[in-house]
Amino acid sequence: MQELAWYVTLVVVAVIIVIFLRVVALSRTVVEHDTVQGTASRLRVGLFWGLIILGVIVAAFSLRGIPQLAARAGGDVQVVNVDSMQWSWDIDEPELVTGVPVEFRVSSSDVNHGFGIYDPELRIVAQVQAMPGYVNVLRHTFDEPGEYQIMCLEYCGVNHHNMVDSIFVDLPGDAAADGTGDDTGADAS
Amino acid sequence: MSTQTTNAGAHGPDPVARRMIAANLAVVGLVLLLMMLFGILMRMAQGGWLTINDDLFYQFLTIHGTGMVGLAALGGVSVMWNFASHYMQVNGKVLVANFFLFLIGVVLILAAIFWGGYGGAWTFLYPLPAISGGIWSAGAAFWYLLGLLLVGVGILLVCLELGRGIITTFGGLASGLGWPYLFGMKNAVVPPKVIVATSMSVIVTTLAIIGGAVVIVLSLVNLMVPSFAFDPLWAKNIIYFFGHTIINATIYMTVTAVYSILPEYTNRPWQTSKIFVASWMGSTIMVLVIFPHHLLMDFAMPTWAMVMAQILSYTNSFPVMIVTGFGAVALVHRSGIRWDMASGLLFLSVFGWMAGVVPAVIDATIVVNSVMHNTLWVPGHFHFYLLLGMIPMVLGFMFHSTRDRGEGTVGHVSVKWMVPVYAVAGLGFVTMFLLGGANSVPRRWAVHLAEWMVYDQWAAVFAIIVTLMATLFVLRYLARLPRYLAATD
Repeated sequence: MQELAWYVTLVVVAVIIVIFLRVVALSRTVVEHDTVQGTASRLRVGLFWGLIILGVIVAAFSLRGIPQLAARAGGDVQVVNVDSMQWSWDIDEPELVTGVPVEFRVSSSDVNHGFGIYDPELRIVAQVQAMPGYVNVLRHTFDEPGEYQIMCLEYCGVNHHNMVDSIFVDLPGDAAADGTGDDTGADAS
Repeated sequence: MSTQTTNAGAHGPDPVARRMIAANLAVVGLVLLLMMLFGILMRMAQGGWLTINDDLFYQFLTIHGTGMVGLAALGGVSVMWNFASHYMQVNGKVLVANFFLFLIGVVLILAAIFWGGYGGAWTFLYPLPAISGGIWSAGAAFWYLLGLLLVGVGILLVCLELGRGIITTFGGLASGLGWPYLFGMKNAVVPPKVIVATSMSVIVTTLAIIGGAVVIVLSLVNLMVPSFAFDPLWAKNIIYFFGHTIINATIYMTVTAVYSILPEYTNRPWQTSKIFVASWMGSTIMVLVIFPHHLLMDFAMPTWAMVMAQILSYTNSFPVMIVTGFGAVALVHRSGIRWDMASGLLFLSVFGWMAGVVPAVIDATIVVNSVMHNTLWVPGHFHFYLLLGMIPMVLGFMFHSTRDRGEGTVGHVSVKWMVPVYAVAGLGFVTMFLLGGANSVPRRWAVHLAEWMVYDQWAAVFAIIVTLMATLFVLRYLARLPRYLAATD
């Protein structure tokens, strides 16, 4: 997703740069304003409808996969309760397995924090805010085993950048063999 | 039947306002340089080139954010006042009151941060001001918030005076927005573009400051009486309603410079049309309601609000892209425009605003936000449309207002390299933020992992170049100021 966002931004901004440079390059030549306006009006209508269509398509596809809806899905899950406080995480079940959705129930004991899950390559795979007085539910299914770091993604004071912890994700068979994790779907809530 | 309005008897800012606008912009220029310096220090520290204590880093973060928003608001209302007062009579003494409230507020804020150690960021996310982990006292947070409140009250006074002027001259804010003309009412007046933009800015800024004031006052009470608590999610909503709206409003205020000055340089009219009025009507509403896109990762929020935030973030880009951005491009295209510092910076500002919308809209897509929220992508998008959009608008106005009338433009020699260098370095700077965000680097971290430092180091280099260029711009403005003031006395 990050790569897609980056390349789309790069391409669209590059197109805008080219348009502006082209306009600057041609700005010395003078054409009747009405002539430019006529062309501009037609292009504007095309741009308007083009953006409408693009927006509808992107919204239709992207809104189906939003994490707010995933959090309400049924089925077996691994439940992890997470409390946060300046400047540490209290994770009641840091040993997890791949393939079974994990339901993180995230809250805070003091100020706002951000529960960000980083994969072993330091890429964010999911996040949710941790807020005092609320339990935010985030569901995520880990596909790859490894050590995932939890980093704070909401500024929470002077040790914000030190608010780091880890969770460990194993393949189901490995977890059963070494006695960690829960591959049986302990909570179907 | 509608009629195009002309000058309603006013002839620009009165002598008091003219001096205050000049003073405000001088302050804006100097504060801008100082805040840029803090920015450089932070990026160098993140890049491992400089050692700064963590608490000092977050104090820099707090003053950088507060100062930039403050100068954007001060610059925005100054530019807007200048152009709006060509169409209505407003009392320049209000700008004096605003100036002193601003200064008092700044003194309180500086004392709270550098004396009291407050480092809760300009977003003062409740209940962080009161729960610092022992780093700053409740008193420091109190003075910071009080200072912020005073700055806000000053800006509010300006908006109320401009609103009064619009109501008196045009018959109401709805008329200022051009709604009677849009809906085809009889004898409807077609307001100038500047008045449409001013009406919108006055409405949204007033509402934003009132919202911000409410949560600041509640936070002040919470600091004095810790047992007095309120809902953090509600507070977060109001804070982002305030913060999102006010920073966006500064661009809507300052774009009055683009509407007024670019037609002068191109010798082409830029008339108010129904499309223009409709787009500003849409912006007025959408700017006020899209702030929940800052809360997309707060799953306690209603899902419908999140979905609406994504969709409205898309539609909110239309007026910027299709009306103002596209309109400016069409205005300049093959116009024989006279390029100088002012026109160069203003055209750059249109680019910065348009292009800055792109990463913003992408981040407002919920599935993207779930891996981009609160990474460096976020400062990437807002630095894009502030550093390359709003700030060039203010700088362009500075050069335009002090240009040497009758002898051509003073700045036409320098534009050949100064504006492009600022643009390229600014683009490089924001690109490093966006690249960092795409690689999951969290925002607001005093210390970065070694893997992330390459973005910080390049960002620091670009930031130094941008700051050097901004210094040249501001110094040139300050150098011209005495002659400008003497000529207008």
